Amino acid sequence: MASIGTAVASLRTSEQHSKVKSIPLGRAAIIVFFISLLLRALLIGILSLLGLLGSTNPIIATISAPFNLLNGLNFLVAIPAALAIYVWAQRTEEASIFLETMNNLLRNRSAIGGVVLIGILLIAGDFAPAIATHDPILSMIGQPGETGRLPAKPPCIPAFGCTDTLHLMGLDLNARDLFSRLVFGAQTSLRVGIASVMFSIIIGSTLGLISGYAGSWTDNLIMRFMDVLLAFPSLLLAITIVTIKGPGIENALLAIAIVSIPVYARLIRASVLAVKEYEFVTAERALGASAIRIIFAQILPNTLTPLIVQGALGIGGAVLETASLSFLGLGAQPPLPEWGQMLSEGRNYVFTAPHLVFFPGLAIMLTVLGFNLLGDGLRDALDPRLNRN
Amino acid sequence: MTTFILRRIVLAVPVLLGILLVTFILGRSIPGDPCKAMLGEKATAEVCDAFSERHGLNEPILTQFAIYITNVVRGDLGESFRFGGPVTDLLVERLPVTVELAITALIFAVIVGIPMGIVSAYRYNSKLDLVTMVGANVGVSMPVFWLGLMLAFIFGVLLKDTPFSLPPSGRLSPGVTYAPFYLTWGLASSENAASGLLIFLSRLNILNSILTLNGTQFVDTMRHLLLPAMAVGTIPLSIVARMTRSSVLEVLNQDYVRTARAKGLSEYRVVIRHAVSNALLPVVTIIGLNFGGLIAGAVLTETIFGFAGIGKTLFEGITARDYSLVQGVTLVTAIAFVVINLLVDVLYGYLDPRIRLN
Repeated sequence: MASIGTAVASLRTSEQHSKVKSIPLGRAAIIVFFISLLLRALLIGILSLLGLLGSTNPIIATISAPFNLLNGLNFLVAIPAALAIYVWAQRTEEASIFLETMNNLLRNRSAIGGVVLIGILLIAGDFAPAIATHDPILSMIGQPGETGRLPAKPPCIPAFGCTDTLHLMGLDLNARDLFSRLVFGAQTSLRVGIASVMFSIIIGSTLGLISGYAGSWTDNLIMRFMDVLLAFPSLLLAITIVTIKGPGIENALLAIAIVSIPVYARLIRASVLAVKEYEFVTAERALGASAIRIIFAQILPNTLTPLIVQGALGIGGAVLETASLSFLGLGAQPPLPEWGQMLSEGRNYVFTAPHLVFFPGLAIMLTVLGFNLLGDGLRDALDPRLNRN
Repeated sequence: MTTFILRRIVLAVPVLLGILLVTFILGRSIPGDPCKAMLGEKATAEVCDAFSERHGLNEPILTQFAIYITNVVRGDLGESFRFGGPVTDLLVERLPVTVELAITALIFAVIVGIPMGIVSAYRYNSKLDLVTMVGANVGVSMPVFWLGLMLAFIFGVLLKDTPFSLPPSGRLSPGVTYAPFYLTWGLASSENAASGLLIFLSRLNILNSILTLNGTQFVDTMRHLLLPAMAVGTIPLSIVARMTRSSVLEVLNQDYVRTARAKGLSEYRVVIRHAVSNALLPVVTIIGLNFGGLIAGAVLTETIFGFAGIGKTLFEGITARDYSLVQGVTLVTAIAFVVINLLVDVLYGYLDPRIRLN
C-alpha cells in the first residue's frame, strides 16, 4: 500500500511541474484505471496467442512463464503498472500527448460507457472464482439445500421472496448455476476476442506495410488476395474454415482472425501510402535510413490511429462471431462455459425457460456494445479533424 | 456508361477466379482421405475410385483445379451425403427461402432505417437523436440468433392470445400448401416436369402468391416472415440509420442547402428533395456491402424459425461434416456477393456521374 501512496503523492506534485493542462485527480484515477484495463487486456491477448502457438513447446513455455505469472496476479500488477505509466507520462514531454488523448477520450460519453462495460467484463473474468456463487461446471442435483425440479429452474433470489437457495439467473439444463457460468464465460469471450484481433492486426499490418511500402507487383499480389478474402461473407468463410479444421475454440479463434486480416491490411496500406509521401519520410530516406527503420520509426507510429479504432471495433465483432460459431456448434465445446454455446443449448427451451437464452445473449450484447462504444469514442478522441468542430 | 460497366465486369473476373481458388484450396485441406471425407465413412472402394476419377484426384494439382472450375461452371458442386443428392439441386430448392428472407429483411432495414437516420440528422443532438443513436448502437451489438429467439418468445408466447401474436416457426401455417404459379399458368404439366428456374421462382412464396393472385398465401407468408425478417434486418437497419444520419448531416451543412432555404422553399422540399436525395448515395453502397451480413444473419436465424433455407441446410451440413455442402454454399454466396456488389457499383455509377466519368 505504501508504494501506491507515494505514487499518488508524486502524482500530485508532478501535476504542478508538468507542461500539460492539469488533470483533476478524479479524472486521473479514471485514466489510471483505463490504462490498467488496457494492460490487462494486452496481457490476456499475449498469453492466448502464445498458448495458440503451442503451450507444450519448451521455448514458448519459457517465454510465456513471466506473462503467466503476471496473469495470475492480474489487477494487482496492472494497477501499479498503470500508475507508473501515468506518472512517467506526466513527466515526459513526448508522452504527455498520450495523457491528453486519454483525457479527451474520457470526456466522451460513449467512451465512458464502453470503459465501464469492458471494465465490468474484465473484472468479472479475472475475479470469476470470487464473484461466481457456484462451481460453473458442477450440477446442483444432489447438492445440499437444493429443492424442487432443478434442470432449467428459473431465477431464484431470496431477497425477492424466493424460499429456495440463491440462483441469480436460475439453473441451466444440466442444473448448473447460470450466473456462475456466465461469469466464467467472460474469460473465454475476452480471450478469443482480444487474441483474434491481435493475431489479425499482426499479420494484417505486416502485409499492409509490405504492400504499401514496396508497391508494384508485391502490392498487387497481396492486395488482390485480400480482395478475394473480402469477397466472402466473413462468417461463412469462418464457418468453412472451422468445419474443415474441426470444431473447437482454438480453431474458431484462428478462423475469425484469418477472415479479418484483409480489413487491417487495407487500412494499414492506405495509411502507409498517405504517410510515405510526407516530406519527413523523404528527408529520412535522403539521410540514408534503411527501409526497415523508415517503416518502424516513421511510418508505423503514424498509422496507429485508424488501427486502434478498428481494433476496438474488431474485438466486438470477434466476440459476436465467436458466439455465432459456438451457437452453430463450431466454437467452444461443452462443458467449457461460453455464452454462444450456452445460448445454443437453451434454444429449444426458449418457450418454457427463456432465462436460458436471455442472460447469455444479454451478456454478449453488452460486451459487444462496450467495445463498439469504446471504438466510437476512440475515433472521436483520436481524429484531430473531428476535434476542430 | 457501357465502358464503365464493362470495366467493372472485367475487374470482377480475377476476384471470381480467386474465390474458386480459395474454395478449392479449402476443399483440398480437409484432413484424411478426401473421398471418405466427402462421401462419408461408409463409402466403398469402388465408389471412391469413381469419385477420384470424376474429380481427377489422381491428376496433378493444376489439372485438378481446372477440373474443379469446369465442374463449377457446369453447375456441379458435388454430392451432399447428408441430404443425398447433388448440392446444386439442394440449392435450387432451398436458396429461394433465404433470398426471400434476406430481401424482406433488407426492405425492413431500409424503410425503417432511412427515415430514422433522416429524422435523427434533422433533429441533431436532440433527445430523439440520442435515443435513435443509442438504439442503433445496441442494434449492431445484438447477436441475431438471440434477437430471433427473444422475438419468437415475445410474439409467440407472451402475446399469444392478443392481436399482435405472430407464428414463431415455419414459412407457412402447418399443413397448408399452395399451387405453384407454373401449374396455374400452365407452364409445366407437373412439379416434376418444371425447370430449375421455375421451381426456384415458385418457391419465393411472396412472388408466387402475387403471380397466382392468392391473397391467403400472401398474408400467411408475410405473417411468418415478419419475425425472422425483423431479427435479420436489425443489424443492417442500425447501420443504415447511422450512415443516413452522418450523410444527411454532412449535406445539410452545404451551401446549396442554404441557398434552397434562402430561396424560401418549404422545409420539406429543402430536406427531402434537396438534401436527402443527395445524401442517400453513400447509403446505396452500404446496403450492397451488407449483403454478407444478411446472409450470415439468415444462416443463424433460419434454424430458429424453422425455415428450410440454405442457412438451415448449412447448419445441418456442419453438424454432419458434409464438406461438399459447406463448400458449395460458401462458393455460391461468395459469387452472389461479388455480383451484388458489381450491381451496386453500376447503380452507383448511374446515380453519380462523378464516379463513372472518373
